[in-house]
Amino acid sequence: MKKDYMTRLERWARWMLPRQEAEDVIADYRDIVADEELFRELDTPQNVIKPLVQKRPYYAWLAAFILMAACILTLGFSPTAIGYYFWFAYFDSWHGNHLGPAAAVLGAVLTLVWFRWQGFKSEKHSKAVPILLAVLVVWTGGIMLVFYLVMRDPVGFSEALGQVPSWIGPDRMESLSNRILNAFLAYSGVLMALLGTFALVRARTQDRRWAAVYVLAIASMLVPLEMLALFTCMDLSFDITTAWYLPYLGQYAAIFAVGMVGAGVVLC
Amino acid sequence: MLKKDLIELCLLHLLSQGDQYGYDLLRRLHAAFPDTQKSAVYAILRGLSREGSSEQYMGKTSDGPARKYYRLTDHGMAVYGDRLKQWRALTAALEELGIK
Repeated sequence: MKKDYMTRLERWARWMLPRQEAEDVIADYRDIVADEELFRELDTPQNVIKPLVQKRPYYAWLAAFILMAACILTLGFSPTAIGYYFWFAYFDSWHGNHLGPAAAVLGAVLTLVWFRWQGFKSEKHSKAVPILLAVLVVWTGGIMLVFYLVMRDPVGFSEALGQVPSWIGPDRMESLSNRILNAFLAYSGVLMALLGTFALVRARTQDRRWAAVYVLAIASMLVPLEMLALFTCMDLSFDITTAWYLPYLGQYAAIFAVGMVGAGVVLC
Repeated sequence: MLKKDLIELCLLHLLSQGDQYGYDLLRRLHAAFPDTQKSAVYAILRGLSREGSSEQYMGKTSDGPARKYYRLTDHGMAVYGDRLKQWRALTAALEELGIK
């Protein structure tokens, strides 16, 4: 019960207070909680921390968090029904438009700077961080492999499953395999956006190394969204020569490499 | 003088007697003001640190891990003097009215 109370108090303290203040408060409450009589009459962790909040640094953190979360969530949800406006109207179908990558870079740089300055580095290493980073590397590597295999024989891939059956949607003579691939790429971005936002919360409340997951999730989100932008763009000026898609694959690999470097910097 | 100022005066007084750690201060204040929320008392203690009346340092104990101690700063000493003056003026005024 006391351990659970302290865990929740630590989370609230690190979420609402500046780093040093949070550490001082947590150190004091370790002693206070150990006293049976004082512990019995303690308020909930949230109510204990609330009176200690200093408005200025707390609002600065909230503003930074909203901006960092917006950078990944707006992009991640842009190809879904919720983000329709951003994808088609604002980003003008994304392809050839650098607003998406610019927002991603802004989110990653802000995260690097903020958590280097204000982040708490736990003495205990979280096992989840390296596991999630490895999953992101394998996941994004897999997506790039799928891209390569599809682009080697796009016609064969399009015809592999036939047309979209009428019970799924209106018959538009659309390839079912293409539609599955597009949906997979779109929702892969959504998944990465959610993972990145979760990692941001953990980076503030547990250990700043979680910010590495956010930075790599941004790169892992950009790769499938850039692919989707390429697949859905209406640009007819492509020079479709043999292996024309390889420079694009190189771009995606470069985006992911930058993400890995960023994640490495956070971990240092 | 509000209750908050009284608690602040008590904390400054306790710190003027020697360095103490947060738990000890809170326990002693809890004994003096049992109906006051401990989180509110603790918030006043942290407020003193923030405004520079007290500061924290890591102190060693003979039988346990290092603890963070609070000590009064020069600024805190001056604040303590002011609060004490206010308190004495208040008790004198109350006594003049016959309240003892």
